[in-house]
Amino acid sequence: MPCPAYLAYDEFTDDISAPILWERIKVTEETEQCPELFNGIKAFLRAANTKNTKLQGSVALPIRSFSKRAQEDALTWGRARQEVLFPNLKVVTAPATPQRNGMHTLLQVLAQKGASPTSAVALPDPETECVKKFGMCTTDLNHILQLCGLNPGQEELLPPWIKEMAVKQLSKDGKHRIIRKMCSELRYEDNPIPLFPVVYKMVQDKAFGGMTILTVRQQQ
Amino acid sequence: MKGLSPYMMVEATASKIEEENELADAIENASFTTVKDLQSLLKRKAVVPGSFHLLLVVVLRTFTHNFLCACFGARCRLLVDLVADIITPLATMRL
Repeated sequence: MPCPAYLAYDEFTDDISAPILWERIKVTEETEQCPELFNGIKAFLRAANTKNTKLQGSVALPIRSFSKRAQEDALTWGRARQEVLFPNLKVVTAPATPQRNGMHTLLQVLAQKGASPTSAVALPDPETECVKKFGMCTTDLNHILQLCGLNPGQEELLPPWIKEMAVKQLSKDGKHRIIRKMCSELRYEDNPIPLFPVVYKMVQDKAFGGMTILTVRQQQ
Repeated sequence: MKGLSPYMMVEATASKIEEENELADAIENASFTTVKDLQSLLKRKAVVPGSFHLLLVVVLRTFTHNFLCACFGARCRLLVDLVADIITPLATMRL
């Protein structure tokens, strides 16, 4: 079958396989000179490629071609091109290969801690840590932070009685003592806080009730 | 009465407060309690302050500057809002 010469310029002296030629011709626009012949060679190559693919069953590609990372030079070139084309876009890409220094440092840290490099490092659960430290879950803690006019992350600025009340096995008398101590440092000493049972219970349970005023303010 | 309220700051003598706390302890240690007993601890009759001075000084200042500040610190939003919106205007009116 006649074929445009520019599609097979690298195979003038040898045979060219039909699938390769099909890959080249299928994305080529048909020529104005002889469209019938062009369509004929296209149909022939499609049929030859289909037959060849059918015989192979499936196309086998090495797994590594999917999993391996690009070479470092390629990544460097890519980053440079990206910076040129999109100067405002900053994308942090991992290095092509693990940094030897970083890995060495990690191994040193593990060795100092007496842990095996292969052993899993148990990360503390933030919820458990919060209950342990403040005696309440993160949702309640955020509520208390809001009442104290603080933002999440400013737990260190919380009043000290919250941490003091979080001690495990603290007796009821101990809790009442903390509340009395808290209510003893007053701005207007002539007007002491009447420590009725309802006040003790509210502070002890941290059941401060409605948030109407704060909610309205936030919506504004 | 439940939750933060200025009406928690009612005027009461030390003996009255002690009496109520003893009652609460007794109810907690009692082998048989009723809902009415438990409600009596939480219920508190709201007392309207008898004068402007009592409202401003005793109730509001005790609630905001003493109680809220002790519980939540000086950055408490409720404290800041009450001082800005109620206590300061009321104090100005008094002058």
